[in-house]
Amino acid sequence: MSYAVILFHDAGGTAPDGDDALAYWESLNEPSYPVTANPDQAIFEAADYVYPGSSLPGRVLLSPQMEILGTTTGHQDDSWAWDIVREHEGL
Amino acid sequence: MRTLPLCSLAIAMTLLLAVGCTPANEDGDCMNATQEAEHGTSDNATDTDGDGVDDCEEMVHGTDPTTDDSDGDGLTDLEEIECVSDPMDADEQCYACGWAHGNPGNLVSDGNDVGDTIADVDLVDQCGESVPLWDFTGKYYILFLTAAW
Repeated sequence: MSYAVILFHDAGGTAPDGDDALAYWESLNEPSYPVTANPDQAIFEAADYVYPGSSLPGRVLLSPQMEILGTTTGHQDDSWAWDIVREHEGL
Repeated sequence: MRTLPLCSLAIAMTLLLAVGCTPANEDGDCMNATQEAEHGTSDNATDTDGDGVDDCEEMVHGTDPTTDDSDGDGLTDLEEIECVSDPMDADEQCYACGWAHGNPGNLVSDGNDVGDTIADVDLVDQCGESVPLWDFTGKYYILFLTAAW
């Protein structure tokens, strides 16, 4: 399994750019992970994870087939994502 | 006078036809001389244009076996095949970061809820290049998140 990361915020909570992607990629220490930024933040419309009454941060997990597998909001680690990936892979 | 049996003559004729009518294949690849001529390739070299992709492989990829850069985008057919870029699409080139170009095929977004196929969105990678989200199709699990936390 391979993973990619997409930022919809920079460290200051505003729209990210390629430099933010590079900085995050360097901090990940996972050279094989593509890290990209979504400068126009179109993800806000593309995935309905900003539920009414909740606030950012949010996370969206996509399958390799571009299916939205899960969304979440709030302060937490990424274990929820790994659980979904394992289930999706039948592990 | 002794005469040859009719069946012997038939066998001899068959052998003559088989030997005499089989087109040459000097380079021993998948195409004989006639087929090579039809494609404008050489029967004396397996890689007519010398781009590192054999003539027969070029047939599979749909590239031009007589030129090393079929789409004229400045990258050789071999370079594009190795980085999983379309060697017949001048608008598609290798990513500097080395990402393979995914093939979304007939992918269609059908919503923005869990279980739906997400819409394509524009991204910028850590090498500063624009990457459509769907170019990652079939390659990765993808996590959208914020760097602010």
